[in-house]
Amino acid sequence: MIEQLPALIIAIPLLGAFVAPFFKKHYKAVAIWGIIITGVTLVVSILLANEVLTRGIMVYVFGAERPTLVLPSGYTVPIRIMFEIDALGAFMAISATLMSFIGALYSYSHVAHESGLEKYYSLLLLLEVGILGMVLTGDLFNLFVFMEIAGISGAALVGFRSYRGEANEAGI
Amino acid sequence: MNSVLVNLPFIIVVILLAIGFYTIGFKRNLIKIIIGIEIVEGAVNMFIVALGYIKGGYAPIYTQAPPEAVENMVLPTPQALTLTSIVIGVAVTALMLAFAVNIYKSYGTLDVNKVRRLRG
Repeated sequence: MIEQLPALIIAIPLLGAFVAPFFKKHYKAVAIWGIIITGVTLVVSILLANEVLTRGIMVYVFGAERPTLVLPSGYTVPIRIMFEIDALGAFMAISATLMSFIGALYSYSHVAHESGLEKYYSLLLLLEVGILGMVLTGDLFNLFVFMEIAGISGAALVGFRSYRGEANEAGI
Repeated sequence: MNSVLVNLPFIIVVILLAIGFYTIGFKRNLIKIIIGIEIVEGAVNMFIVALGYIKGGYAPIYTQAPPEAVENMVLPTPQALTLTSIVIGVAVTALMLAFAVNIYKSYGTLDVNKVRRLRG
């Protein structure tokens, strides 16, 4: 359980983001769902920081037991999806999850009168996934991928109130 | 002559970058600016792919590879990165075009000199 935390901290908001569109027209339910998911992610990031502070830097590999696997030709660069979490990464993860949690709490009343809230919460959780992936990743490739996730969902969130021209102008 | 042929992808990259930056900087229609951004993105993709291939290298696929290819494969990361970048570029283009459609709905124009309701 504890050693799977780096995968969980990405998987939980991703699950939340893809489940959120099912709450169509149930705006109270989707707001509570967003608060629950961001709260669970906050707890996971605190557990992760505790683990990093007690046992040192964590290296997590998706799809393999050990991070030392190399190419068959002997080229010694690990070729899998790596997450490397040190204390700074854990701190940034805590800040990102805390701000997402506060944002979800504030959104409960702030966007209560808008329409399309299920898409709003989906984008909010996707933005959290992007930020967490950016601060926890171990290679440039995934930094690029998660940066694009955060960038696209962030731009879409800026233009959320699309009935106002200013939001669209800011979003582009 | 040979050096021109070897450097042809990079020359094309420079030309594409010049066209793209000119389009972004000097056109006033939002659709044309989006097209300029796409041209710059294509130039960057082409730059990464051109850097990532070395003459005489093999495609980095181990299945049924000839024996002399095992030591001479190019690194697959630039190609994978470019493939990802192309896909993400489509998403970014769709988002920008959606914003352009909404801007046209609420402002009635696509001229960036008239789309100026934001302050600060």
